[in-house]
Amino acid sequence: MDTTIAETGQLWPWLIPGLPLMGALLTGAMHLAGLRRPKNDDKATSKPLAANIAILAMAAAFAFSIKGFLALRGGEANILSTSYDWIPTGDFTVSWSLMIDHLSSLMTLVVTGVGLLIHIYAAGYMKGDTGYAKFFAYLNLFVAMMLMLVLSDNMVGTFVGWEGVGLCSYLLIGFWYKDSWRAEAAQKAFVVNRIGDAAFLLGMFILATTLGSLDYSAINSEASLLAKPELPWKLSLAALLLFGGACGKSAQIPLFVWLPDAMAGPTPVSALIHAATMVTSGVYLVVRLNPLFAAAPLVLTLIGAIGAATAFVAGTSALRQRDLKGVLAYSTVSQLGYMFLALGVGAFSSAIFHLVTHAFFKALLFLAAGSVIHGMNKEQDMHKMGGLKAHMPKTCLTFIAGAAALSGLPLMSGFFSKDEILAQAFAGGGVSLILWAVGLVTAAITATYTWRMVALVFFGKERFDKQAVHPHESGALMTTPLFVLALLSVGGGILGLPIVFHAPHILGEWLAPVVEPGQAILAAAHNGHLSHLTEWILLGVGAMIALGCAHLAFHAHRQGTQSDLAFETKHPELALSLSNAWGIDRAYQVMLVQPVMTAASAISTLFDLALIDGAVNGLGRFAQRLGQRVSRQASGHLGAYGLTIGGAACALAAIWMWIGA
Amino acid sequence: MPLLTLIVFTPLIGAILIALVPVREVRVLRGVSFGITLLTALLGFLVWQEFDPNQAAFQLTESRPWFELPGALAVNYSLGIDGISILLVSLTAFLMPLVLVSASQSITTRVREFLVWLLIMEAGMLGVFLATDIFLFYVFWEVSLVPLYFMLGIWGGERRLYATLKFFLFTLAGSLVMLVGVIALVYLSGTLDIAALTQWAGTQPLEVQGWLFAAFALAFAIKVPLLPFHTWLPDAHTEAPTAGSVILAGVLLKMGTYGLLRFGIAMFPLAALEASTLFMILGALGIIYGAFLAMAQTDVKRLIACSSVSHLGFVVLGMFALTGAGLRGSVLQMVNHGLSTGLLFLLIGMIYERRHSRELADYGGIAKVMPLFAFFFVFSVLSSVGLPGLNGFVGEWLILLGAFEASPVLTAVSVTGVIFGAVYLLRATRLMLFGEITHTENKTLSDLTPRELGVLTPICLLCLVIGVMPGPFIQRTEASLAVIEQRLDAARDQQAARVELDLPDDQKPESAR
Repeated sequence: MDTTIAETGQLWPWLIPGLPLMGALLTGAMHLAGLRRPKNDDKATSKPLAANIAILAMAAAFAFSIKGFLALRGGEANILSTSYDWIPTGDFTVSWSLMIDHLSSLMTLVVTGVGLLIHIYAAGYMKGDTGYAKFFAYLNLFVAMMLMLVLSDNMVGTFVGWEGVGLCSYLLIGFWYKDSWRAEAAQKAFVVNRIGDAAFLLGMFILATTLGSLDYSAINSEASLLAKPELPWKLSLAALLLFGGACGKSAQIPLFVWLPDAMAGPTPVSALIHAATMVTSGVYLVVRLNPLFAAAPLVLTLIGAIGAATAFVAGTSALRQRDLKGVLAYSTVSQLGYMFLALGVGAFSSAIFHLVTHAFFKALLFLAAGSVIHGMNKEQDMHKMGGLKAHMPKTCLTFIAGAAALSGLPLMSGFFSKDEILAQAFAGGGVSLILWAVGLVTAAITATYTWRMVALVFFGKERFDKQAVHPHESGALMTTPLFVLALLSVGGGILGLPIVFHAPHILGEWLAPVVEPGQAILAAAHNGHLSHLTEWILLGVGAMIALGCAHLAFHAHRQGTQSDLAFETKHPELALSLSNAWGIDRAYQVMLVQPVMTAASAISTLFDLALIDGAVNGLGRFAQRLGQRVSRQASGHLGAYGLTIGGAACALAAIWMWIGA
Repeated sequence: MPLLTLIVFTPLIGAILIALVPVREVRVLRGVSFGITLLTALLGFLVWQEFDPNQAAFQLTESRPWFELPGALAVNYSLGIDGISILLVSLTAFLMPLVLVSASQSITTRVREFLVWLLIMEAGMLGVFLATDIFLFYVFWEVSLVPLYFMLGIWGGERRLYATLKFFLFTLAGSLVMLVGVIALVYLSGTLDIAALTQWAGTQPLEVQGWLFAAFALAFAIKVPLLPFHTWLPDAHTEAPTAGSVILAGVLLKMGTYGLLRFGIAMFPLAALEASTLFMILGALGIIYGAFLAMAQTDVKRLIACSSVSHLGFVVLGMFALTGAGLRGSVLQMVNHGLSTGLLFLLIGMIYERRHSRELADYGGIAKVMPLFAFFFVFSVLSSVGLPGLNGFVGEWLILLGAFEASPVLTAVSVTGVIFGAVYLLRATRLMLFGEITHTENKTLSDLTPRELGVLTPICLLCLVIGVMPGPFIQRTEASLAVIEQRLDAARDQQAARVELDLPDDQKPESAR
């Protein structure tokens, strides 16, 4: 790894996170300045300015990301940019430094590229909101933190971004804080993420104390040195704990419960943070540390199992959501599960491939859904939609493009990325075959809920109140990003065509330098490649399942809500349990949150107030009484004094003699 | 220039001036006091600039003979500053002018008295951190406690008498135990000079170190406060006027942790090694226990007070890990806690002046009418929960890293404090700021005034600076902490040698036979 680091001392990479950060400061200052203005002042004048600043910052960051990408494509070396020392621990020093390598370059392109589109869309979507400037300040801050996360060349810097994006997620979920349920969702997201972060911290401490550095280059080279059967269990434990952190941020079982609630935020936020970028940080982290994880095969197996389980559980939940954003939220959890499944079988670059395509099509779906909600006066219940194709043709067209990619219809981007993951799992053999099977079933589920959604929203009878709601197409500011994303969702597969197409796997080749150390460690255990025939068969099976399920679901729900209602009356309990993600969230409430709160009040009232403070006050009262007693002795009767003195003297003498003996 | 004498006596002379000046205009008195604290802050900045980070021993020292105790024991008036005290001296000097401004609105009765006590307190606290003679230290220690007693008792809340008595008794108990320790130490060593005492104590066997350590540690543990001596703190915090709470959290509690480091660990390394696990356990317990207490509170000021118990648990945990990172982190975290908890108390004071309630249930939706207040409140909460990029993270991270080297298990337990911290502080944030406004009184609350912004902004900026660039702060502590680390290493060798000596002859290594 270290041989590739040649260029140092360049400061321009700091502009990539720095420009959005400055945008955040500027728009934030505009917001704060606006607060002090009298209410009747025309604030609308400043509004387009805030959005323009934010968009400009994003565009500039995107441009610099491209510069980084081109520099890497032209030469060999990673670009390292150290600015100054941050935390001197005594044993080693953590510095503020960034590294543009093949992985972080790709991530910056996705984050700033998709982020730019979402910013443009948001300029239209948030029009008229009183917190317009504040919204863009948060959004820009988020992008800055996300870029810090992917660009930092050490784990502590990544952790800055890691918690920074968590903060922005908190602020944006609770953006409309007047609704207390949104504020609660925000708090839940932050706390659940913090559980993961605590694990992340511990994992970091293990690495720091065993390896003496938290720079990625040091960790990755040490881990590959130690990639022997006698790998210290400590490093496995570190990998496990870091995966715990990834579970929090990337909403995997057991920490996925915050993401469905996070849909309380404005829809551009759901698209940017809770679909395209932040939630993929866990995947990024594992790939960034791929030699460490490759050297911990048990942890890797666990990651695959958790990924598959999450994909399945969340997928089944998505089947029974009535809320349009609810379907997309559970779908996101499920798709993230696919990425972790890929990581589990050691297919690191396949996970990133799916991360990229998912960023395209899921951002698209969310934004298109936002367009629907926008045009429907904030209605999110799919049972109150239907037939919107006629009213919103552009949104409908782009949504279908996204749906096709998500469900993996042949030749769409999601088809190739999902298929690659499944093929890798199949090739892994052994336990991986179970993962492959679960993945295949989930693919069927995915196609089903996706096309149910399409049918319920855009086709069939119009089920909304035509008096109250007048669905209309959104403006160009919102639809243009949709078309760009639709193009990427449809064509994104070109980044990673299967071997049987005899075309270069662009993304795989690009990421090779990053994932090679991990692959090398895994190579001993890996079974090698599939034959072309097997691969064709797998592709065919995937295509048929996607097409078949999509067709069935679309036709079942085209008529309207009957098929949903029929299921609900037939299996009411199953329907309820599925829609609540198998009741896991409820179980946490009962088994974790309540007991902690009860314990807190018990400790506070019983232990602290009654016992400790009781003892303190009791001691006080005892002293008072003693004083009263003693003062009663001072009665002025000389005889009583004499008696006391004499008695005490005798007692002392007795003790003296007893000790002496 | 006797810089340290100047910094200690400026507020003291100021106090006398305020007490005697024949002016009755409150505005003038406030203005003059503010000028005095500002001057002290300026002197503090000079000290900060003059301080040589490479020197481990006391610097900027001054010494004059004061009087003689029987047995030819010379008591000196001697001051000095080193890496252990520099941050706390600067923090005290920095906070006081801001505290004074914040009090100008809330304290309207007996203003002159209040200002006098405030200035005496500042002199006392600075003296505690600067004294290099143990007698002088003890004098300043007592001087700094009296003002809070009066502040609590005169300007406190409804249950102020109970809180005052409790604070007084706990403090008195601690002071007496310490006095016993001081007398024993001086009697045994024959000197009062802290540097000489440190040299002497380090050479003593564990039996001697142990008892002396116990006396000092107990006294300081009450002050910190460590479990189970913490119950005076929530009461004192809750009843104290805002200025009192801010100083209590910001500086006074740090006298406890400062003492633990200066007189516990630096003086008695052998005993500190023996007691390390016990104190780490107490620290970890304090983290969890304080967090649970905070989660159950309905009074927001009490909630912050309980969070102090949790945060100081972190400081003790890191300090008694006795590792490089742990010591650095705990010294830095003393300042961080002072800033972030100080901010929170200031903010609660500001809202209390408007609404006269500390009950969370009386709020809700305040962010709509007081957006600036909401901004600063959230910022302070984030600083307090240790968000990376702000001050709290650097200290907490170093503490946990250092503690992890010493005890992974206790660190794993303590790290849950990071989660619980988010739970109780975000809960308070949500209940106060978010949701609909349910109480009509809250609809007309006015947002922060420029004066209040002026108090909060410098502290927030400092939080940001320490978070992003803690280097200058940590570097100033490094040389002195390195000496403590060396002493600990020597003690570790001694401890190992002792174990070897205790072994039967045939199991001893070659060299020891």
